[in-house]
Amino acid sequence: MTVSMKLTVLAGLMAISMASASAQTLRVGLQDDPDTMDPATGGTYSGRIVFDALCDKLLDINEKLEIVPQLATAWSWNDSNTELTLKLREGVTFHDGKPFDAEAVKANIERMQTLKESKRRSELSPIKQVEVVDPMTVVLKLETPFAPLLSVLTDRAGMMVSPSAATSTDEFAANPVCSGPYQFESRSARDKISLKKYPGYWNAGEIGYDAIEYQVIPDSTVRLSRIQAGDLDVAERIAPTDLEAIRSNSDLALYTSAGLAVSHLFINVRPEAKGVLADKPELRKALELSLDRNAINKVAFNGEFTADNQMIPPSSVYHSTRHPMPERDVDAARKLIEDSGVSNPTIEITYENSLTDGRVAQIIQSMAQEAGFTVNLLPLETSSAIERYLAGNFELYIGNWSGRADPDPTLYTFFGTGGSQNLNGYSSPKLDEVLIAARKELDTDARKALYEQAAGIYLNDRPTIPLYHPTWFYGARASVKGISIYPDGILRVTGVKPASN
Amino acid sequence: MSGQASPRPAARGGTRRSGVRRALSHPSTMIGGTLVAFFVLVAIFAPLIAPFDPNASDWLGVRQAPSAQHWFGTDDLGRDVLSRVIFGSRASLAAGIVAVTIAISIGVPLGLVAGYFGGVIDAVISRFTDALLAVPFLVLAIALAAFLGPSLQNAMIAIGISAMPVFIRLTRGQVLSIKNEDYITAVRALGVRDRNIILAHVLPNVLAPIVVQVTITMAVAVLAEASLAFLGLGQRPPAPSWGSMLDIARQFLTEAPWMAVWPGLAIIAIVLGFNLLGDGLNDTLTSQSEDS
Amino acid sequence: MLNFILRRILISVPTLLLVSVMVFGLLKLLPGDPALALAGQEPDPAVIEFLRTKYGLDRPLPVQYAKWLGSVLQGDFGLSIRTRLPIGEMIVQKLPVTLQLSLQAMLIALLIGIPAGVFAAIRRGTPVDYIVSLIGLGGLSIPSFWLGIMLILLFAVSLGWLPSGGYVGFFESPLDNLRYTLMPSIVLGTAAAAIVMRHTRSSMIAVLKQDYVRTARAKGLRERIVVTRHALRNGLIPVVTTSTLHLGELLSGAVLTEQVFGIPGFGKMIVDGVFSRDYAVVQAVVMCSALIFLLLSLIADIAYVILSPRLRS
Repeated sequence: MTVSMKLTVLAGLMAISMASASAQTLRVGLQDDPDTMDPATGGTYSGRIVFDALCDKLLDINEKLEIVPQLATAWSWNDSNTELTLKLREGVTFHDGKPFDAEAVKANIERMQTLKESKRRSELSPIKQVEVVDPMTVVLKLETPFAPLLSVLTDRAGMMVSPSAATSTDEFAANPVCSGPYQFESRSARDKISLKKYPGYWNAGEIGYDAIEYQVIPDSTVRLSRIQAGDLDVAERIAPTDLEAIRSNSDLALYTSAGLAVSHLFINVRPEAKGVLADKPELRKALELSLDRNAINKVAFNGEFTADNQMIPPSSVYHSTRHPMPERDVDAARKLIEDSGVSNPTIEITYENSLTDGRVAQIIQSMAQEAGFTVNLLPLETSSAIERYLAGNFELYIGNWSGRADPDPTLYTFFGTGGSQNLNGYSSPKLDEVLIAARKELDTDARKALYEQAAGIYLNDRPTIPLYHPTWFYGARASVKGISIYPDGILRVTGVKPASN
Repeated sequence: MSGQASPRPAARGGTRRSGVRRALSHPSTMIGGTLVAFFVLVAIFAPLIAPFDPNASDWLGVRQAPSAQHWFGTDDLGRDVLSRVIFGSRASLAAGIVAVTIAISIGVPLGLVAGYFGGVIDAVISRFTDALLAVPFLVLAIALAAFLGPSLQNAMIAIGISAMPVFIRLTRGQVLSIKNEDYITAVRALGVRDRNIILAHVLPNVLAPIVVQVTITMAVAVLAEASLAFLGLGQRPPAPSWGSMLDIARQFLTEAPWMAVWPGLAIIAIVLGFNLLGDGLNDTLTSQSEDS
Repeated sequence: MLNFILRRILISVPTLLLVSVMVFGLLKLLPGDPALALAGQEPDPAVIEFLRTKYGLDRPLPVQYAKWLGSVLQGDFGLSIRTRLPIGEMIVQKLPVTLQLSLQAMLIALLIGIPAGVFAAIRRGTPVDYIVSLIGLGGLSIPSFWLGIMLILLFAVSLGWLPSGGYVGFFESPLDNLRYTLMPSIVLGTAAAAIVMRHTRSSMIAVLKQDYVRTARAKGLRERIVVTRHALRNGLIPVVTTSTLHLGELLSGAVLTEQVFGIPGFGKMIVDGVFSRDYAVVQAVVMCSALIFLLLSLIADIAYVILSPRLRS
C-alpha cells in the first residue's frame, strides 16, 4: 500500500466517523441500495424514499391520492385542457443557494425530456413546450388533454434539481443538488447515504431532525432487530411475519398503508410464443380459477397483503367494484381444460429469483397442478430475467409493478398497444380506445366509468392474472413522531420529529 | 475451503494392496465411509424412506413445530422438512460426484501432460492454473454459476471447473517427483510411446494422492453446492437442496428455527464423512511411514 | 533472496494479466449486462441502448479490454455503472471492513488452533488427540453460513446479546464495531482454526521426533520446556506460512459471511457486483483479491525462507 493510498484510507475512515450518528439524526433502514441519485435516471423504490428528503417536487399526493401543492402552490387548466399553468412557491432556493423559479422548471423538464439516459422521457412526452410567463409562473403546453400529467409531477418527473449543478449525469448522481429539506452529504455504496438539514429550506419549521442517515440493510430480520435494539429509528418493508413482533412491543410503532403496487402473472399471448395459453383464452381462465388468491396471501404474506384480481388496487377510486375477485373453482378449471382439448397443458413460469416470488411461484405451481396443469418454474437472476422479459421471451412471468397514483401509467403501459410494458403482445382496439378516452377526461366520475369499462375488457381477455397488492409496512421507534405513510409507500420526512421536541 | 492432499511419494507395486486394506481398517476411513455410505443409501432409497412427498404443500400446516407426524416440523409452504432433508441428499451427492468428475477429467490429464512434457506446454498450463487459483474459489464458482443460470446442473459444472486447478497442480507436482526415477527413464529408453508411458507407468504411481484429493474435493463440492444454493444459484424450486432450504429458513429464524437446524446438520454430517474418509486415506495411502 | 523475490514478482505479472483476461471474458459471457440490470421496473430500450454506448459495452471485446486495462494501469478503476460512484473509492471503503474481519478471524484461529494442535501432538494417539482432531475436522465441515445462522439464532434472537447483523465503523464507535464484528469473525475463524490446528499438530509431531528434541529430553529438561522452548519454535514455521496463505482464503470465505450478516464489505461487493452485472466493480474486486492472494503467497514464501535457514542456498 502506498503512502497516498494509506492517506486515502484514513480520510475515508474519518469521513465515515464524522458522519456519525448524533441524537438528532434520523436513522432509516432501507431494504436495498438505491441506484443513481439523479431523479432523471433513478429507477429504484428505495431511491424514491431518499429523494423525498433530498428533492422537492412540483406537486405531491396526500393519503387519499389527491393532488396537493409542493413547489407549485396552485395550478389550473385552460378550457381545452391542453395548457397547465403552475404558480410557483416564492423564496425557494436550491442547496447551492441558487433561486428556484420558472426558468428552473423549464430547464428541469427539458433536461428530463432530452437527456439520453433519462427514464422520465415517456412520462413527460405529452408536454410539447414549457413556457415561462413570469419568474413565478410557468405553463406546460400539451397537444391533447392528458389527465395523468398532475400525478406524473408528484413523482420523480416533478423533482426539481439545480440547473447549474445538473451538467454531467455521472457527477450529478454522485453529488446531487436539489431543493428538498435535506442536502446531500456523503454516500458509501451498498452501505449508507447521509443527508444533513438544509437551513434555507422553505418549510424548515416542519423539519425535526438535523440529519438523516439511510442505511442499506437487505435482510428484513436484521432491520427488525436493529429497530428493536434502537440502532435504527425507522425501517421500511417489515416482513409480514415480523409484524407481530412490532405490534406487541410498546417501544415500537407500526405504520401501514395499502399500496399501489401489484404483483401479477403476466401471460405471453403472442402467437409465436407457442405457449398453450397464448391462443386459448379458456385455459387462461382455467388457470385463474385454479388459484386461491386468499390462500396465496395467507401462506406467503401471513394474510397481511391484499388479494385481488385487478391491476388497480381497491385503495384507488378507479378500482372496479363490478368485478369482484372470483372464488377458486378447481372443478370448473378441470372442465375448461377438458373442453379445450389440450391434455395435460404444460406451462412455465419465469420469475426474478427472489424468495418472495419463489414462494408465490411454488404455491401457484401446486395449486394449478391440482387442476390439471403441469407447471415448470424458471427462476432467473434479475438481469437475465429482465433480458427475457424485454425480449418477450417468456410464457408466464411474475411481474412486480410499483403502480402509480393515477391508473393510466399502469393500464396503458401494460395493455395499450405499443405500451412500454406491453411485452406479451396483447392488443385490443376496444381497450385502446377506452384508455385513450380516459386520458383525455379530467372529470373523476367520467374517468371512473371509463376505467370500469377497461376492467371489464382486460379481466375477460386475461393478458395477465393479477394476484395481490402489497401493503407498505414501516416499523419505527415510538420516540419518532409524525410518520404517516401514503399509498406510494414513501417515507415523507416533513413533519417527522423526535418526541422530546 | 480447499484443502490439498499432502504430496508424498506414492505407495508402489506390492504394497498397494496391503495399503488399501490398511486404509479400510483405519478408524477415520471407517467412520467417514460409514457416514458417506449412509447418505448414499438415503439418497438412493429416498422415496422409500421419506414419510411424505417432499414437494407436497399443506396450506393449513405452514411452519409447524416438530411433532409426532412431522419429526423435523414443516416449512413455509407446509412441506415436511424431514422428507425434504432426505431428498436434499440427492442434490448434494450429485453435486459432489459430478463436480469432482468434471474436475478430475480435465485437471488430471492437464496435470499429467504439463508435468510429463514440461517446457512450453507446462508453462502455459501452469500460468493458467496460477490464474485460476488466484481467484477465490467461491467467487469463481459464483461468477460461473451466474453465467450459466441458476440450476443444479449448472452449479455442478461451475463447481467442477472451479475445483479443477487443484487437480492440475497436484498431478503435475506428483509427475515431476517421479518423472526422473529409474524405472520411468528405463521405459523411455526402450522407446515406448509417451502416451503409453503416461497411462501405464506414470498415472498409476500418482493415483494415491489424487484419490485422497478426490474425497477432500467431494467435501468442498458439497459445501460449495450448498453455498451456491444459499445464494439462489442452485437447485430450482420446488426440488429440495439443503442450501436453498437454509436460505429460506433464514427468513423465519424467530418463528420457525427448526427449518434452519436440520439441513445444516445434514451438510455437516456428510461433509465430515468425506473429510474423515480423506484423512484416513491420506494417512494410509500416501505415506509408508507411521507418521501422522 | 532479492533475486528470488524479483523473480516471484515478475512471474505474478502474467498471472494477473491472465486473471484479468479471464474475468473480463467471463463477465462478457454472463447473460444480461449492466444496462439491463439497471433498467429495473420500467425498462426503456432507448435508455438501455444509450447506456451501452456510453459505457462502451457495444464495442468489440478486445477494445473494451484494452480501454479498461489502460485506465487501470493509470490507477483508475472507473465508475460503478449502478451508482456512478468511483470504484477506487468504493474499494477504499470496503476493503478495510473485510481486512478487519479477516484479521480478527485469524487471531481467533491462532489462539484456538495452535494450543489445540500442540496439545493433540503431545497426546498423539490418545483419545484426547482423536477428539481434538475430530473437532478440528468438524470445524472444517461446518458451512459458514449455517454457523452464522445458528449464532444469530442463539446470541441475537434468543439471548439478545449481540446484533443479528449490520456493521458500524471502528472510528464511529469501537465498542459497537466489536459487537457487530464478533459473530462474523467467529464464523470466519472457525474453519481457519481447524486448519491451523491440523497444521500445528502434524508439524509438531514431526518436530517432536527430531534429534535435537530427543537430545533436549535426554538432558532431563522438563517436557513443558522441551515443547515450548525447542519444539514449538520450529514446529510453527509451516504454521506461519500456511496461515499467511489462508488469510487470502478468508477473503473468499468473507463472501458468504458478509452475506449472512449483511456487512457492507469486499465479499458482498463481489456478490452484488456479479448479480447487478456491474462489470467494472467485479473486475476491480477480483483483480484486487488476486493481487492480495499473490502478495500473501509471496510473503509466505519469503517467511518460509527466512524462518528456515536450511533452505537458503
